[in-house]
Amino acid sequence: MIKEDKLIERAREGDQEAFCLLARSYQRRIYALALQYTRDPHEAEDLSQEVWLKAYRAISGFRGEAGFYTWLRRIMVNTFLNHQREMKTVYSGGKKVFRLGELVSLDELGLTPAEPRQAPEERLQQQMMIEKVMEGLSELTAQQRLIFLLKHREGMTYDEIARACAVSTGTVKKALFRAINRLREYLGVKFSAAEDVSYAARERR
Amino acid sequence: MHDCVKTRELLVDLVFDELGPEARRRALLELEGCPDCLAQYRSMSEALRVFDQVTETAMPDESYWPGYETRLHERLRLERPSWMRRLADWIGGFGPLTVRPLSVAVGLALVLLAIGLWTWQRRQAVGPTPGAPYVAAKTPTPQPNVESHDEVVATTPKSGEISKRRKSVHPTVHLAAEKSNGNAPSVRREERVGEMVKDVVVSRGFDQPLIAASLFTPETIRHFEKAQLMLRSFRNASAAKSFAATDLAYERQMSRRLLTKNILLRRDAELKGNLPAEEALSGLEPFLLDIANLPDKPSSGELGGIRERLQRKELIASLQISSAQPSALAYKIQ
Repeated sequence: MIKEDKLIERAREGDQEAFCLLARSYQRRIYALALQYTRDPHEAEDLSQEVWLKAYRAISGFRGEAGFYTWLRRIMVNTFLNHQREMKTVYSGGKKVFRLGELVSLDELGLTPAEPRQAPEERLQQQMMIEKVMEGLSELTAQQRLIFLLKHREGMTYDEIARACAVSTGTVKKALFRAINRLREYLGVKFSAAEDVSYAARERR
Repeated sequence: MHDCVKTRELLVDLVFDELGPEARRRALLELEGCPDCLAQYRSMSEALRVFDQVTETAMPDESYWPGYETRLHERLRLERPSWMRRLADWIGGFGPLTVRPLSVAVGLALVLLAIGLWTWQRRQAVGPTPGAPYVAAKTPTPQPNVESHDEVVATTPKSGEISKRRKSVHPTVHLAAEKSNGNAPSVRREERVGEMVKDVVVSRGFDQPLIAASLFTPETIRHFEKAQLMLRSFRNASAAKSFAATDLAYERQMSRRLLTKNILLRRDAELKGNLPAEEALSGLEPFLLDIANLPDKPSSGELGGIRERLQRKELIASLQISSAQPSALAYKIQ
C-alpha cells in the first residue's frame, strides 16, 4: 500500500490517480457528513464530490503544515457553508416531497437500510427511525446542523468550531443544545426521573 | 446546594465531553443528587447513541462506492488544471532554459503588463472612432416577449412545437437557414428603430447544435454538467461487456431527478422567451425520459437505441460545451 505522503506528493504534481486513491481513504467519512448535512443522498454525493474537486484544485498549495484530513476538513466546512442552494426537499410522513410535488419512495432515495436480509418489520422500523432523525435534523438551520456534526462526528472543540464557522463559542453551545433537544424530541428518547439514579454513579466510574 | 438551572447549562458540555476530569466528576456528582437533571442527561446521551446507530444504517452499501469513485474520477478528468499549474507546466517545457522558473514567470508577466499598458495608452490617444454609434447607454433593458400561459403543462414538447412557438414569441426573428440554404453561420444582427439592437441567435435544434452559453443561467449550466456526467456514465455502463442490469440503477435514478429539474428549467426558459435554453433543454428531455423509464432488465436493443441516438445527436459534446464555457458565446454548426 502506498503511503499517504507519497500520494499527496503525486497528487500535488497533478496525478489524478493518486488523488483518487487519497480520496478513497476519506470519501465515506465526507459522504456521511454530507448526507447528514443535506439529508438527501443525491445532494450528499454532489456536495461531497464538490469537496473533492475543491481539494484537487487546491492541493498544489498544501504544504503539510497540518495533517491532510485537517486541511481537507477546512475545505469541507467552507464548501458546506457555501452550499447556498435551496434545500429542495423536506421529509414528511414517510415520503420525500420534491418542490414540484412529486412523491418519491425511500427506496428510490437510497435511504433503505444497508442490510438486505433483515425482516420487513425490522427494515420498516429502521426506515422510520431514519426518517425521524432526518426530520429532527431538518428542524435545525444549516449552520446548526454543521456545528452539531463537527462536534459529534468530527470531535472538534468548541473553539475550533467557532473559528471554522466564524461564530462565537456561545453560538456553538446553543446550536448543540438545540440539536440534541430536537433529536431527543424526534427520536422520542425520554427518561423519567424515577429511573435508575445510580446512572451518574456508573458514569463517574 | 444543587441548582438545576446551572447544572443543566453544563449538560451539553458533559454530553460532548468538553469538561476537564475534575469538572466532569463534580457535574456527575451533582446529577446523582437530582433525578430530573439526571433524567435529562441520560436522555441526551441516549439520543446521541440512537442517532449514531440510525445514521450508520442510512449509509449506502458497498456496491455504491465503485460507482461513486467512477463518477468522481470522471469529474476530475473534466477538471481543467489551474492557470498556475498550466503556467508552471508551460515554463517547465523549456527544460534547461528554466533554471529559475519564478524569475522567468515574473519577467514574462512584466513584459505582458508593459504590452498591455502600451496598447491601452495608444487606444486612449486615438480616442473613439468618429461617428461610432453610442449604443451602450441607450440600449434598453431587454424585455422578454412572453406569451400568456394560462396553464403550464409538464410534458415534453413534440418535435416542431418549439419552432412554431419561436415564430409566435419572436416574430422579428428570421431563420437564416431559410434564405441561405442552411450554410451560412446562423448569427445575424437585427436592427429596428427604437428597439434594442441585439444578436439574434438562431438554432436548428440538437441536430445541428448551437449552444449560446451566455444565455444559460448558472443553474442551467450546472444542470447540463450533471446531465452530461449522467449520460457519460450511461454510455459507458451500457456499452460495457460485463454489463448487468443493476449497473444502470444509478443512471435511472439520476435521470428521474434530472428530468424533474429539466422540466422546471425548460418552463422557466419558455416563460422568459430564452429560446436557445428552451431548445437545448427540450433536446435533452427525451433522453432523460427514456433512461428514467428503462425497465429493470433492459434489452441490449433498448440500450443500443438510446446510445446510438446520443451519438448521432452529439448530445454529450453539446452539453460539455455549454457547461464548460459559461461566459462565452460558443456555437457549433455541423
